[in-house]
Amino acid sequence: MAAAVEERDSTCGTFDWNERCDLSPTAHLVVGDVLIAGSIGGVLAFIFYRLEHKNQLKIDKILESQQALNERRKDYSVEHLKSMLNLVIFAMSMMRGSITHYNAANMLKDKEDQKWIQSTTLLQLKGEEGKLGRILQNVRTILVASNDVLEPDVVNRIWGVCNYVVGIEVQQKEDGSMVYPKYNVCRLKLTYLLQFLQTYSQANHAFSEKEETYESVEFPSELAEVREVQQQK
Amino acid sequence: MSGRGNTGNQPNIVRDYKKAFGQFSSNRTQRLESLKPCEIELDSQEDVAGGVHTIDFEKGDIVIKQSGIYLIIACPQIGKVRGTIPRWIDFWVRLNNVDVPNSNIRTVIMDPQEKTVVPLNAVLPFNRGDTLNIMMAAETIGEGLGIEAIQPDGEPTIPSIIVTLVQLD
Repeated sequence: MAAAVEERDSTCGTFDWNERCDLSPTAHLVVGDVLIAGSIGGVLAFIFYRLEHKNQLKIDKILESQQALNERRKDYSVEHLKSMLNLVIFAMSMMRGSITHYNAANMLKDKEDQKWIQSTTLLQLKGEEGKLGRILQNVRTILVASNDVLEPDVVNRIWGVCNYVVGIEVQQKEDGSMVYPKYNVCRLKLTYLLQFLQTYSQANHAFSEKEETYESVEFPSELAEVREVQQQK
Repeated sequence: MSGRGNTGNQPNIVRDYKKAFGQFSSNRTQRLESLKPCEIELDSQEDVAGGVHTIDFEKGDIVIKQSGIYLIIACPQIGKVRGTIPRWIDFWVRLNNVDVPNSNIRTVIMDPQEKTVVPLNAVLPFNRGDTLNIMMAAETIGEGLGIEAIQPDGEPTIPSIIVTLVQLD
């Protein structure tokens, strides 16, 4: 090495490297370092790339499973909400039925019978009221539990209907008859809401943009129901 | 429920509207009988000339049938029966049994000869099935404060309230 340095032409530059000039020790050192650093860098880059790729695959897998879990939760929430809202309608119609029976008993001549029927139906009514309250509470619990998977608009809409229905109470009029105020409107709201929930597709986990119709639902009046009960008797 | 639109001279034509609208009124005088907030009841809806009503109502509940953003204008005809002490009366909007913030307005009535109309307006997003109520509350119940329907001679009846809803989007 020392001999080679000594034989090197003095006119050759430090980084000259050709037929006449050998590579200088300094250039040798620099080029060697660059080559070593480059090869180490390349190996490290490859290792890091492989690690990052593996990590990315794992993250993608976690995200996918999370997404699938969210979709399952959404499917379950919508199905559960549908059945709960159907139960709300059912409990409301049971209450309405009890009220109709209670009012029909007002027209009985036998006071003992009247008292017995009214006390029985009143008990049923209280039971149905409690049931309705519990179902509505369930609906709200579902909304709270799944507000991260359901769209805010959907949550607000269902919340609005719950607010409305929960605020309606059975009232007794001055003549002693019972009345379920705003029953028709409650039922209409629930029907619209159920129609909307029916548009949910489990294939794409979304509500479809179904065109809303102007058709309204007509319900029999309370008087007609009382007459119907009387006719049945 | 409200009456369907009369088909009038063109019974076979059924009109279809892309945007919902509704015009409601009450021809009944409604005075406050309690200091609690009271729902204003409506009793008529304007005909839609052969079309279907795009918004329904039942008593005080206006039921939205098409989701969207709506402009609401309600104009109650206010009056009182007795007393000369200035008394306030408030009107606001209630949506799904929940009072809408920043929709309340107030007017003060001095004497029974004074009749005034206070416009109440709001823009709100509605979903299908939402119910809207126009509410009122007053300072006292002893002076017959409320909304009045007036029947002038040779003129159409002045309704106690006129409510207009127009879908904007």
